[in-house]
Amino acid sequence: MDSKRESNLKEKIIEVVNVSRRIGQGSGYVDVLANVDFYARRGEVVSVIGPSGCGKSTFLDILAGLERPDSGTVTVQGLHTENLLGSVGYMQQKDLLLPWRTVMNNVILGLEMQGISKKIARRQATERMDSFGLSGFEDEYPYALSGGMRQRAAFLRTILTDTSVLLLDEPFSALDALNRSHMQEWLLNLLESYDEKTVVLVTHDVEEALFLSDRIYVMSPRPGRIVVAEKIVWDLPRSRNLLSTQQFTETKSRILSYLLSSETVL
Amino acid sequence: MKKVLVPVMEWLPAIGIVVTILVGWEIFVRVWNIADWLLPAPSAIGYTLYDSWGLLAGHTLVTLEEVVLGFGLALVSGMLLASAITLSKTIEKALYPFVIASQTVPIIVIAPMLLVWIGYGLTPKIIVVALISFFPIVVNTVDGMRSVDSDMQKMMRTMGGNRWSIFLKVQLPVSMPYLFSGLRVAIAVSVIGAVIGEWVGSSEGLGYLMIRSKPQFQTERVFAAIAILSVMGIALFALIGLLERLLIPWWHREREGRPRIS
Ligand SMILES: Nc1ncnc2c1ncn2[C@@H]1O[C@H](COP(=O)(O)OP(=O)(O)OP(=O)(O)O)[C@@H](O)[C@H]1O
Ligand SMILES: [Mg+2]
Repeated sequence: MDSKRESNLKEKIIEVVNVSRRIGQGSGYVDVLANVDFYARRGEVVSVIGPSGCGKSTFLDILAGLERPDSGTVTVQGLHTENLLGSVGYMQQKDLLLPWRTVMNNVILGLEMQGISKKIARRQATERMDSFGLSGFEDEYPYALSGGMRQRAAFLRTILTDTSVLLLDEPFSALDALNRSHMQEWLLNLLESYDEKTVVLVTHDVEEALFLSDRIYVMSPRPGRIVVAEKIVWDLPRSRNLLSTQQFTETKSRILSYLLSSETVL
Repeated sequence: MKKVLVPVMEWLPAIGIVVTILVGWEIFVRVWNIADWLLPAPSAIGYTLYDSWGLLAGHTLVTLEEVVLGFGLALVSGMLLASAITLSKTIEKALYPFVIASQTVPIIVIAPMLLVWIGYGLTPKIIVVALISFFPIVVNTVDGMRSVDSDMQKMMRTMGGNRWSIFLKVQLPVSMPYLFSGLRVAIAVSVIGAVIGEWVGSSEGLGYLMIRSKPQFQTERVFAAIAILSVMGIALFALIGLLERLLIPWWHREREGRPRIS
């Protein structure tokens, strides 16, 4: 089991080489990303952390095939930018639930788009409602849900499309601290049960990145560059206890110092 | 009990105003002894409504039919056109200016021409009603379809959505509340359209009855027709509101927006 995972780790599912992105034309442009190098191996959870407005969402848009880089190459599961749409699971910063659909009909949207019959889609969704804390709310409309539930519904919608790459854009930024730490633990458990999925998690919360990911990329303010990439290995299993260990606090302050030093560069 | 009382309470101010006006009007006519053909008292109008109900009802049905058919035509053609405008830039550029231009030609000019081209009967009235009510439907629906959040389009595209599926699954439902706003305006002008269509040339309908009653000094009959037209307009308006609540219940809940579950 372990050796299999080791060998899988060698395969780069996502590879980004020297990607730059400029938005807008003429004199009104902004350089959003500059010479970004990035990779993620199969089964890895990789965080991208950076200050607000540094281009994190744009980076995920590029990984999802929504935007083209101006230069550099993007490869995800052997596919390039032009062919990426529809093969990468992407959960955006906003939950984007459709207000006219019930929770059930929202979460099966992706399956519906894949041409899977509603009946089969509903069955697949029902199986997971419980682990997403949504059972009993299948027939509710999104307006009736709390922020955390809306996020989980959006997440379930992404998971059900069953892509092996998941892009998560600040999934918990809209939640209060208590809800957020619940959701982080919930996500950690969930990701452990999907150990074949490659996850790119964007956040500006250092603790969240440390708690959830195998590797961390730190980005500079706009134009976003990768300042440092660091592998995270903990002596303890991941749980709330980890957060109070010396190893955790030391790593956290080191990452923070990278973030802050990159900030003063500009 | 409360459920019944709340709408009644909501309507109370409007009812109060109507009653006040009617009472004032009645007193005015009686005290100054105004001739019936000049300004009939509400009681005289009421009596006409009761006395000539058979005649009025027949003409009411004709006008109602024109309104409903013309409105239906505007609804169907308006939604089709709005969809085409949304889906194709070329169609938008080719047709949208004409949609707007069509509203600058007064309906009172078009109506007699329709009479010349198509003749008497139901068809020209349906066309007048459709012409007058089609504009708010198209403009509102196009606005609604365009109001889709760009992140929502992104989400659909990452799930393999194309232009058509985005249209069907997002743009169309998003536009529904806008469509209903358009329909409210459209239904009100539809009634006006039907009356104009009848004034220009017809042999039946409330508009026709008004035109014919006036020279005969049957002013209370003109007012009776006006009363029926108002009630028709209000009833159709309310019906649209009811349909809205039934067909897009999420919209009101979304707006009232209080999370019930945490
Ligand atoms: N269409 C656009 N036109 C102009 N500027 C844009 C556009 N899209 C993004 N930008 C700019 O590019 C920068 C990066 O945007 P992006 O949304 O990727 O940042 P982010 O790191 O995700 O920010 P946040 O933490 O606030 O989510 C921002 O400064 C933004 O103003
Ligand atoms: Mg962002």
